[in-house]
Amino acid sequence: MRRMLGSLCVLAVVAACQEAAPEGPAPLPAFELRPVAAVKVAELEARLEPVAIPEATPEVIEQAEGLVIFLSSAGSGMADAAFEDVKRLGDAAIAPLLAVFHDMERHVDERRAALRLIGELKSPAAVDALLVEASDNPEPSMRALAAWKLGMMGDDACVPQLIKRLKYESAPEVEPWLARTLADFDNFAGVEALSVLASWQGPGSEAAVHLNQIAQDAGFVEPDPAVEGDTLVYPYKLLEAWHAGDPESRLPLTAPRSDRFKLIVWRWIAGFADFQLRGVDDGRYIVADLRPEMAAQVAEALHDDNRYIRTHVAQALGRMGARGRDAAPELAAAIGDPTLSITAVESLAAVCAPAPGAPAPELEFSPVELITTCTEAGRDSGLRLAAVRSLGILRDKSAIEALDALVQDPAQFAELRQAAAESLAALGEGRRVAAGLVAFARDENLDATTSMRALRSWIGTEARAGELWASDLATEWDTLAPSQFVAPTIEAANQRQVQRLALVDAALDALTKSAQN
Amino acid sequence: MLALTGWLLFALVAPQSGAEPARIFASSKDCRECHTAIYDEWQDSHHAVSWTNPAVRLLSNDFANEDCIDCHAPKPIFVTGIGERVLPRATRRKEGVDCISCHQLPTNEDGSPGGMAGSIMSKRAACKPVEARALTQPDFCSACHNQHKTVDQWRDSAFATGADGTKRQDCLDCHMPYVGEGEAQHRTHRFAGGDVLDMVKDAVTLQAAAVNGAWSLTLTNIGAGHSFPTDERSRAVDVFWRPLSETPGPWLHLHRIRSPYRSEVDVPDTLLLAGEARVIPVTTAPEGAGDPVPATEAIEVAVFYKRSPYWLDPAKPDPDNEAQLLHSLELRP
Repeated sequence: MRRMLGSLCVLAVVAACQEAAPEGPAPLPAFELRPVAAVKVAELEARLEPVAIPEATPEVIEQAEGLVIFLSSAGSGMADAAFEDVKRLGDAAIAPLLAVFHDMERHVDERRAALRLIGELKSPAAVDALLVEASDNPEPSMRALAAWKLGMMGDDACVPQLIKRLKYESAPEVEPWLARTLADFDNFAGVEALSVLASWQGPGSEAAVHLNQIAQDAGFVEPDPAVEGDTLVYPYKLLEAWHAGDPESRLPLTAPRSDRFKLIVWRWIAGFADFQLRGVDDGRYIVADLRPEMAAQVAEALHDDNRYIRTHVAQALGRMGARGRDAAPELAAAIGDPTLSITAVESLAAVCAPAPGAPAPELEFSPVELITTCTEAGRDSGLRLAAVRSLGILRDKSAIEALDALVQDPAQFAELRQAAAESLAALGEGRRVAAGLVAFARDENLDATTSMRALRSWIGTEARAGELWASDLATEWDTLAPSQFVAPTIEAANQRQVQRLALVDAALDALTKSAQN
Repeated sequence: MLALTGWLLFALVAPQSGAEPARIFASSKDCRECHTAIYDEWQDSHHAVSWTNPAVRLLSNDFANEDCIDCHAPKPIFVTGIGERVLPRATRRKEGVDCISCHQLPTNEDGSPGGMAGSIMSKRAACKPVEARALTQPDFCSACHNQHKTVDQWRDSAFATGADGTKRQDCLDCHMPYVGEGEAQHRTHRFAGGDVLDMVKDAVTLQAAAVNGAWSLTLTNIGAGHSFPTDERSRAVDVFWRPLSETPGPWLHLHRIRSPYRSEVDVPDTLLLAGEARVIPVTTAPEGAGDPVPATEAIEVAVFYKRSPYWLDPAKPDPDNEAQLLHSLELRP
């Protein structure tokens, strides 16, 4: 029913966009706003028992201590006995086990045993306790141990926090365990970072072994990495499937998400209303790395009556890319909310953009038509600009005519014409608009960086198509790149831009002469 | 004050008559027509380059980290709301934190689009400014600058509370002081802060003494009404020492003052609070480790300011080339 309503909203937006009145574009249909995130959190909290670590009696403390000593000195065959015993103690054992774990005077085997015993409890309180250690413990080996153990506890409530940890984790011994535990819960957000690590460490490295194991567990037989220059590139089919937009290519979800998982996700979404961007950034990161079937559920928050919540939800959906495609109808409808229209257009393009070489997605409406109507004169300038940029992201060549018209119309504001030229370049018209991009980059009233990026991207496309001049130009362009570790001065950045534009000028001159001959 | 009011009246009233509707300003460049001096000051400020500054570009991965856009190209603060978090704008990002970011109102008094907030009300000026004291309040700056708790640091300081008889001072007193004389007097829009080395130097003092036979330093935050340094985790202040010699050797690290990035779970927050005097014993290894350096030895100590947190070679920091000198002392027995 909700999906049907979403489709009706999209149709209304499309119709309003197309029925332009003589005095200007038709107003977009109103988009319903209501409390969403707070209601979801309240509903889920009402269904769930609060999680707390109970106090331990002296007897439980003594028994937990005994189990730690036993497990740390027992052979692997005896471990099961300790695990059974700790289950009998229940959550009351968590506090004394944490006390042992945090006691730096204890032998490391005892501390590790304490963490493993907590993991055997498999209760929500035990999961929460291990999540704290997987996230905040200063010892990488202990973070890795906690992450590994969480994968064996069968509670998907750990997924959001582990995704957040992916954002910050820098220890190479922890990253594989974050990725593997997430994969245990059918979330492959950690594979991307792991493939980067594997390309640094090389074939046969710890990261590569973990990567292969994750792929194998998910049913993929991966080819060997390709060598590009001095780096290894992992062409992982698993990653392609993780980022897939069409339902047939998606990775299966083996068990439905729990209410605890949903509560944690909705709490993060409710947190989008907070003042501090720190938490908002983390929340966006988590939502953007959720599985595809969460997109439609999360998209409900586009209706939230808090503007920060609906704006950041739209941003996060956009960052899901094709994985967020189920949210496309709601994003299209959200263009009707003036406070959300710009972000909704940008995110709609991001979720509808096909993978390179793939056909356009099959949807009940045409994103390119809808977004093109948002570029009409008379609409909000920010919306027009976002729509023009989004047409480049959609990679649908049917937008070329509309973009050409904008570039060539001197009555349009310069920033819009510049964006239209950049989008044309993204649609494969780079050679035709390159001179224009150079001119926009030299216009001191405009942000040169977007045009410089478009030029570099076009040069790369030409080089990949076998144009030798473009390969040379790309090399010369990249030679001028600044150090990654020293912030350049404004003067140096300007000088570099002048040099790069001169290189493009020379290349364009040569192309013109070559065409004349 | 009268002179300021007179200057503003002249500046705001001169351009056009009151019969015309208020202009809708599409760019801060439009403001330059009447407010040339202020516009030029702003152009020299870091607010003007908040979008284009190569250092920001580097740290934000050329704004691929979209989370940085909110404060570096914000929608007008009066539109999102005083004390509320800013939201990113889609157009004119190159103008950074510009005139429109701070002065544009959601609507004119009659509800039509446009309208400007200023320090006086005038129906005859082109922008028809409405007097808005909110412009001068720390809550106004907090929309961006409290993201890293700078305004909260100020609220906890004697600069805000007036504790111990300290003269109360707010953001504008230090970062937008009055400049000029007579009719030209106005609050500067240069927004001097961490980008102006003299201001950074004035924020702290470095003193040294022999304590129990060993050298000891005291670094005091006397000038910043918030932690030192503040706002950006990318910035750091480092204290070094080395034996005094005609051919000086490499600097030896003593102490770092910095708030860590979120990912740096093992790095402590060591910002120097407003008014704090921190004792730093001179030891042969950083952060109080190693042996005390005896006061019988002639040494040189220095405080450096760093605009990016990392050294090219962490094992051999080279502050002379990678940081800026704030203060130095030669200590002799």
